Amino acid sequence: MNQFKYENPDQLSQKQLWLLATSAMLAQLNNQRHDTLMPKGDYTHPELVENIRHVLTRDWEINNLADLSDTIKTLNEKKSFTGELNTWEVLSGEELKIAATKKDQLGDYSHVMDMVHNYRDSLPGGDMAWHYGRCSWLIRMSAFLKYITEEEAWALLEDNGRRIKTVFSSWAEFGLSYMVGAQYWRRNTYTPEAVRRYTKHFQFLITNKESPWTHVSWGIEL
Amino acid sequence: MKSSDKEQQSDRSKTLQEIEKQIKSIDFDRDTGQFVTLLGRYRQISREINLAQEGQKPPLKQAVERHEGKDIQTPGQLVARFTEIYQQLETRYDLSYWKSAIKNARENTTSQPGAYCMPIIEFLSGHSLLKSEVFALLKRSFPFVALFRSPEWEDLKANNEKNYPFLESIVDRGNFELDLLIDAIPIYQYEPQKLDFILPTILHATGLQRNGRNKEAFQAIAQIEPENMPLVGWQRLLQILYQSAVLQENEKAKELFVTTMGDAVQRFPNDEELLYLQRAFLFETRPAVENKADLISMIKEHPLQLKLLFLLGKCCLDLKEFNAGHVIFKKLSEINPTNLEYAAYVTLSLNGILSRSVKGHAKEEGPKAYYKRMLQQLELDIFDLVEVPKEHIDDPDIKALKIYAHSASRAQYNGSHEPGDLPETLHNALSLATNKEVRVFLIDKLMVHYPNLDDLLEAKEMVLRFYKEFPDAHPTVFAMAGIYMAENNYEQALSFYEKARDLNPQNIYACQGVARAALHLQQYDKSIEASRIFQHERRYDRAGFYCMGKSYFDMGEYDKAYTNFKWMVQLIRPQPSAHDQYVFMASLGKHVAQLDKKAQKSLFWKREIEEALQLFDSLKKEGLGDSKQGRWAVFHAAKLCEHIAKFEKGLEYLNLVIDMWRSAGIYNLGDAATLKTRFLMMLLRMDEAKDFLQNYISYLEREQIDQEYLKTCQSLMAELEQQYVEEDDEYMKELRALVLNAATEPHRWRPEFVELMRKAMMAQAHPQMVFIGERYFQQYGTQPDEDDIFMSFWTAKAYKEFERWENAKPHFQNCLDLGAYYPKKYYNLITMAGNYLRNNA
Repeated sequence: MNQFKYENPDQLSQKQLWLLATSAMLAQLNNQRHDTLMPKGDYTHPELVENIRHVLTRDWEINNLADLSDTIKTLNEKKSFTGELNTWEVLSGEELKIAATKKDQLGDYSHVMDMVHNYRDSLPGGDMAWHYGRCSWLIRMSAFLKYITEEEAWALLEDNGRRIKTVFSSWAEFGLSYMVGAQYWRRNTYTPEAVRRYTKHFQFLITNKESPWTHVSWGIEL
Repeated sequence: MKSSDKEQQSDRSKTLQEIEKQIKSIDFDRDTGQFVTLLGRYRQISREINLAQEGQKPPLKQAVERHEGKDIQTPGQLVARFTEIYQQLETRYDLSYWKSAIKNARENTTSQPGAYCMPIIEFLSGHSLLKSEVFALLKRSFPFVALFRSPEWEDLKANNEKNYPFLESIVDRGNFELDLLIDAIPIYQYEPQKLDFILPTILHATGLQRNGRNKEAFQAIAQIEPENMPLVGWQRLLQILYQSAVLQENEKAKELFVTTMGDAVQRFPNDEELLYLQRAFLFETRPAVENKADLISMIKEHPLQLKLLFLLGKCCLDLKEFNAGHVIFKKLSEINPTNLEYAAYVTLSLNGILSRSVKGHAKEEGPKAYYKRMLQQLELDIFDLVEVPKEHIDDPDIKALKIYAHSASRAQYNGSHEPGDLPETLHNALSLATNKEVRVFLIDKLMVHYPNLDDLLEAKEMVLRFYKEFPDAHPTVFAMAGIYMAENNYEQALSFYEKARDLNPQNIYACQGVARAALHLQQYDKSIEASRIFQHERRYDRAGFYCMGKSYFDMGEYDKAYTNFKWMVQLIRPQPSAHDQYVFMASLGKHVAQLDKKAQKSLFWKREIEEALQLFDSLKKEGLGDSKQGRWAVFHAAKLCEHIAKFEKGLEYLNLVIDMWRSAGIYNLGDAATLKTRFLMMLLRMDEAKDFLQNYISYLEREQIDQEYLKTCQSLMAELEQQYVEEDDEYMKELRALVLNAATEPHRWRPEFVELMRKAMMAQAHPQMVFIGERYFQQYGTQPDEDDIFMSFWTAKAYKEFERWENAKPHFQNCLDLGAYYPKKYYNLITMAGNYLRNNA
């Protein structure tokens, strides 16, 4: 549940709203606005600043623009599940089915084989949305913490957005790729519970009127 | 098979046939729900039949002890035997033959093991179509690791004549992809020569595909004659063609796909993958209406084919039959809950449903169609509800839902509610609603406003009323579980939480309830299992880690308890409760106490303890002294300091806890008294140690309490007096300085300890020798060195002078242990240590 209505209080353009919408999965997790660059719009509080700073430092080691740049670069180049897909999708369905059962030989890697078997034909973009989506969110948070200016934030978001556009063709496709990235990240606990929050957020973003994905068409020109 | 099992199997088969008939006769469009339910039932029974048959299979072949005809004594003979084994598929893929040959060679060989490596490598260069288990066996049995690290091997690899890098890779890591192929192909249906063509051909094609050379990969696999092509080969060919035909829209590939598929399904008419590819191809190239009819007919023939069902679901979406699609995707998601594509399509179909007009359904269902839609919307927190025509506006259930939606919307978005408003609204809505689904929904929303067990207990009458009305609805069952929990009726609580979990596996708090109730009932395995599931969902919630940690703690598995508590206190930093701080410190303390002396001194545990103490220090201590467990938390911290020789720090903790006890009117210090004394002794503050201990002994004598402990204290006092050294003793002064210096530059000052021991030994200053030795090993115990033999020996000798053999023995033993690595310099001391140990055994 997100406590914010989608109102576009800063009168952003459709393009800007589209760019913000690429951060939606992580913004939804953190109960943040989808229609402003700043996470809670005009609202700020020392505790909020501290929380976000703490998250960026603890989980991402981002303390300034240079760190952000390094992280963006890493996320853009990271292969993760896409790399696995490229390696294993050439196998036949029969081989993948067998591989998914080889827990003795592969341990938790058998989960990856199961994922390749499940998604081989349905993820043209691999799990790149997981990286691109988090990238967008980090850019927003860095702007909030004033590691970068708003102008810089929009430029970076647009850069990131172009990459997204070349790979995906709908919010649903983007969202599925994000979820798969999350599942791969948590592949050692390959259970429905491990990914339930992501499916809930996906559901909100696809169906709810307060979701950016129902307000902003995917087809917006960047 | 037992006759009762046989009967069950027979019943199942009959049921299966019955269901198959029903599936074939059902009208999909009229009874989509029933169709999908029957498919699910069919699947379930098929699985039961398969499981029962698995149980009847003959046990796996025991490891067969094979006997070779003659002794294998040379590498050449072993390779000759390998060649024989390799020639027949039955022996090639039976590990026992390889094991037997190698065992024979190792028992009878006249050559060094290393002499076998290159001949085996040469053998493998022409005979590498083996399973990884054989390579692993070869690697274990012969020194290939040494060969691969040698300069000679590097030279061979550089020349790359016989693909040595590849051979190194398969011996080192096996060949997983080949294993899969061997498992996927019915190898015993082939002659060895044919298989030896098929396997490398497919592997080669894999390499080509990974380099984007799909056309060449296709051509490679297509070299296998159709009558010899295994299923895997057909699947690979068709995958390549599918990608080219559908994703790249290559017309030639489309034609080739059709003909190749024709050949494949002729040979494998029931293969799920082939049928799926075939239908997926048609899905892209044919109208949805045709596809739908065809898929329904295919699924009726092949009810277990999930992928075909998925395609049918997609067809329904294309045809905007969202309800049918939703039913299908929900079932698929239930069968395979880790498949996120299914979950995504559940959402997409639901979105489709919500976008359609209700009017059509309302003709048949009346107002029910509207409140069904409203419920779907409200489940997704969509408060802008569907418009209702005038004739249904007064329907009580519709009114109830509208009242709720209006209120909930205000609460969520405007925050303009008074806290009590929404529950009151829900009560009003419930007073209107009559339909079961609507009432259960409203009750569920109402229960959210009773989040704590105490809240639920206060509302017990209301909860009982709801439960009586709906004894099998999740919200009421879950609420009843909370009531029982609040009343400490853990058995009933557990039963109800388990039922709630079965009714709605998505409510993770039902799982948490199971964990908590089971913990109270000491059903630790159950608590741990439920906690594990809760942790996956709620990584930052204390409860999951507490329940799991406490379960392990109560079972005495302190290391696992500690792992959970460590994370838990970080989650609730800066102020976990006294209890939480206690279990955190106590679990580590108790675990370390269980380790053997050597493990206790390891670098790993040293670091772990330091980290834990740092974390403990960062936690707020307000109120800690007011509770027994809080005080024990501090005491455990002190005890941990002993393991890492941080005596100053330990003393701080001890002084703190002693103050806490005294503030609480507790003067019986128990183990803290002896611990403090020992710490003071280790810090060479002998006078202080003596005074403190003497005062405590006087207290115990005066109060006539804890006489057992009095004896312990008196024994320690005797030890103290025996070892008493004036604080301004020259050795002690020097030792104190050394300890300080070694804290910052340990390596530099290490030899000085040895020198100081030598001086003390020459002067026969036995108490001082004990101190020097013990402080030396506190500092350097985890980094063994040759001079440790000297230090251990003289420390032991000093203890022996005091007739403290229990302290001397480990030091003499240390001399022997280190003597195995450093036999020369202190040869005499090692010999004498051995004599002492023998004489005192």
